[in-house]
Amino acid sequence: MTEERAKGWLIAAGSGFMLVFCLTPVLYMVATSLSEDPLFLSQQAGFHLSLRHYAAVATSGSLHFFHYLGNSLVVSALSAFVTVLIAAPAAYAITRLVMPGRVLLLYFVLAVSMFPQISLISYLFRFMAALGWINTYQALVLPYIALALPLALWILISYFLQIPGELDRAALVDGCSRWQILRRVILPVAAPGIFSMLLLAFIFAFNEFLFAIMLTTDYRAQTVPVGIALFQGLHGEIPWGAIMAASTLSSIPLVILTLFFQRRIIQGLTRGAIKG
Amino acid sequence: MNIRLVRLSKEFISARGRTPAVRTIDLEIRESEFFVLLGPSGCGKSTVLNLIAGLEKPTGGEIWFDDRLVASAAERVFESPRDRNIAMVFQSYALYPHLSVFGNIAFPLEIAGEGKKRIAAAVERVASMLGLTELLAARPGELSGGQRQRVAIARALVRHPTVFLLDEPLSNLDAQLRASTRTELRSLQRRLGITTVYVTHDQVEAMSLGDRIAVLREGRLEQIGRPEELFEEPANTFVASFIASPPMNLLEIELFLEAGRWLLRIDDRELMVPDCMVDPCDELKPGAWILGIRPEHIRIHPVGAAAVLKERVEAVEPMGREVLFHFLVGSQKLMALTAEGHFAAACPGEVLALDPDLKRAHLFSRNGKRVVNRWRSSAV
Repeated sequence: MTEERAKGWLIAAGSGFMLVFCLTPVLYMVATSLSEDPLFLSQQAGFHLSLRHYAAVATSGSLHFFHYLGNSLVVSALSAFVTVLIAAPAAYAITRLVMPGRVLLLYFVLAVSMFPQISLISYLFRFMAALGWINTYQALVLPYIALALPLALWILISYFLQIPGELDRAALVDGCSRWQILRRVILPVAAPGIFSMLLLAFIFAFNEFLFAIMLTTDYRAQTVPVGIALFQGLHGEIPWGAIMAASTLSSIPLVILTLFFQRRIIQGLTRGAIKG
Repeated sequence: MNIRLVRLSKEFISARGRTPAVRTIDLEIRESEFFVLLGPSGCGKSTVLNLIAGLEKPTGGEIWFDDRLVASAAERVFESPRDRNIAMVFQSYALYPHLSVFGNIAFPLEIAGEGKKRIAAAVERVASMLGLTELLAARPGELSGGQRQRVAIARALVRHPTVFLLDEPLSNLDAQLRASTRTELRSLQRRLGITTVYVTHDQVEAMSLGDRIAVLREGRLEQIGRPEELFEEPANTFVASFIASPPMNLLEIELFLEAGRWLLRIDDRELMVPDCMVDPCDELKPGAWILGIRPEHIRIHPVGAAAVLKERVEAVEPMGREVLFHFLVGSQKLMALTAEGHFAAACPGEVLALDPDLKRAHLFSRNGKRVVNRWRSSAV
């Protein structure tokens, strides 16, 4: 009994610590954005609820917040979609088809993903400049796909490996071509994996900063992290309230996405495929 | 559909080298036959099935469906499963978890591009044949093992396949359900008359289902025959010990001639060999042989009778209707089965007299091959 109890306490304490540790910065962000004076912890100011900063972010045309948000959503969605579009058939081929040296290929892909971004950026800048793509969506989408692809491939491979090979063989016997198997059997069965991969790729692209700041020049292509970093007050001061309001607003899409897909991710879709 | 395998072989090539799974097998499966591939795990029986299905490419030999060549290594012919019009039931059933029972059964027809109405009618028909009508809306995850298995069979039959392949379809069911499904499967096959190839490692299933059985070991064919042929005339010690449970006793013996009569020696016990066992057999020579005798062909007597074998009971195994006794003859294990109830009380350590019915025994050479004597061949 006492051991059970101790376990319960430890789990509760651990969860509590994790929650506080992870959510305090978020709480601070939201609180700052809602405070009349961003320095609400100082003794002179104190906390007074206000939507002033939100109004400023929403109405001030010079901040371009909605441009940034739009750019981010388009770039991230495109990157995530194309990444999975490429990774899914690749993972299927690697897990299902007989192919010499596929393990080697996988490690090669992993090695490629180890390059630090900073080491690529100067060449990438010249490349995009030569193409005339600086400050365009494709200048961001292409590198994001390249960066997310190795991770996507590895994650999808581990999902596909969990799907029993007998499903493929049943589909072959039922008259499917390999493409039909992928589209009609593997993808629906691996849907939780596909969705979590989409989400991961989306979040990666949404948060990316280094490439975004190097390869874009103004609000027509700049994404939210870059945009917020460049927020400036009229006289060059740092508008903390507006920054926090913008940050809060831009985390909303991610929170919604996660909540929406959470059910699909957790759903045990492979249940009942084979004898448990 | 008549299926012919001609010098069929399959090697798997991996980083560790070549592994032969099927080694030059020749066999013919006849129209409407229920044919069983039987063998221990790793004997290549599932590979043979996959080769027939078109899920594997042979590395040697040919497969013929009637007079159509569907796979040939030499002529580079290979028809994919969709072109062979086969249906298959897998050990794990391999139902599509994201589709309903209806969706699962309809799947092959949808892939074939059938119209919605015809699909619905065909699914209705097989579903009612297999008692699945009420389950059509359920997902595979909500079904019991037996129901899943019936869905897998329905999905296989909905297309009117010309060949029906089953890969250990009963091994995931519990014992009772397995027995009843076995009977159902047999009568279903009789009614539909589809050429059926059935893979199993369970000799009881093989014996009760098969019109003919092929026993495989390490990718080679050990024997093909009707169930009673395998039981009565096992071609070698492997088949002899694989068919029937408890298996045939295999004893190392020595044959010798004394005053014109054949005798056999087990350990230090000597037995007279009945004429019919050795009679017109040309191969017989004095020396070491293997004697095969089924446990039910050894009678047990109380000691005192004029029996040659008086052996100590090592273990007693009641099997319900019968009792199985384990003995040690010298260093060799010997099992005897009796239906006589009063021996059931015998305890380990007790000495009983054994009377093997040598007229029903088999003689194998030291390399395991059965010695055919003319008397026995004509008798069966």
